[in-house]
Amino acid sequence: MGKCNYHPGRESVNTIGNQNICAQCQQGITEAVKQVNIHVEPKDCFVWYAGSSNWQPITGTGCAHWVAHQLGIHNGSSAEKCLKGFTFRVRTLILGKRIVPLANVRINDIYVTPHVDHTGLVFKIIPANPANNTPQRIFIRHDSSVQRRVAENEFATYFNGRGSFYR
Amino acid sequence: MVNIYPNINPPIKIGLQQRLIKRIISVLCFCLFFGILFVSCGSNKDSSNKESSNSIVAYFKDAEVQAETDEQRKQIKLVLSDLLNLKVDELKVKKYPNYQNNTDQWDVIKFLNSYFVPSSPQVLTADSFFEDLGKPEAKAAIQERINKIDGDPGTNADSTLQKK
Repeated sequence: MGKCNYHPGRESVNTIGNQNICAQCQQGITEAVKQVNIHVEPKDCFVWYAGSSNWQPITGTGCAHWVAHQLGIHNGSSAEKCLKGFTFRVRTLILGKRIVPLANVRINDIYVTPHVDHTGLVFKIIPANPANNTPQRIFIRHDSSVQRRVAENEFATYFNGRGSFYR
Repeated sequence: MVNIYPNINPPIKIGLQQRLIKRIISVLCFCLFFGILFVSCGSNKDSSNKESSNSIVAYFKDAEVQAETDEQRKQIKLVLSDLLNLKVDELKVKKYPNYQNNTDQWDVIKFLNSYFVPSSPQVLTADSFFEDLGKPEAKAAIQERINKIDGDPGTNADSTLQKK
């Protein structure tokens, strides 16, 4: 299996993502994962190596991490990716993506708050109905620290109709 | 005898002098190049040491704020203000709301770790955090972060998206 990526002098006992992990790191990762906030998904890779054999939960809410796993986004340097190599910063997540006008939003477009501090995915769109004057409705699935789970909320109400969509 | 080539020797001397001058110039250039290299490496080392010597400065530098609601954002600003205004002994015992806005749940370090993502893996420890907090560079870093948040919208977008 080769040497540990973090301790080149030690044999690895496991591979996570493309990282070879020694027994000591494996134990540190297991302990760190236990401390990951309850709403964060997935949890098993939301840890980082803080040096000196010290594994810790990645900080922040984990919103971008969930989106990155859903869409398979690996943007950024190794310092901006989870143990399995997925991006966990919002601004890194949307690097290289373009803003989509509200009328053109599609399922799996990335929703980002105006502050660029929270993100989710479009999972349902109910088209506007001119017959009864009903506007388009967009629904966002997101890793919600407030609701302690991956939640589904409407763009117009929960997010006050504010924010941008990226593709 | 008339010397019809009165300048035959001086060109040889000039040639020697030119070579000597060239050699001196190349030695000077060599010294200058390595002098500049040495000084620049030294200054980089100094500045990186300055950056990393204060855990709070290192933590906030290019950190991303992650928050879902305006209530959470308001709380983040309050905590940052507390970092500037409260005494260390007060901060050590003060508790802050959690993600669900339940009061008195998190100490200041747990609170910061819940909302801020530093640019590289880092852990705030109580010892270094409270020791570094009183230093002017830490206060400046916190004030800079407050200014960024006050400069909404785009707490994270303003500086960082453009930079990338």
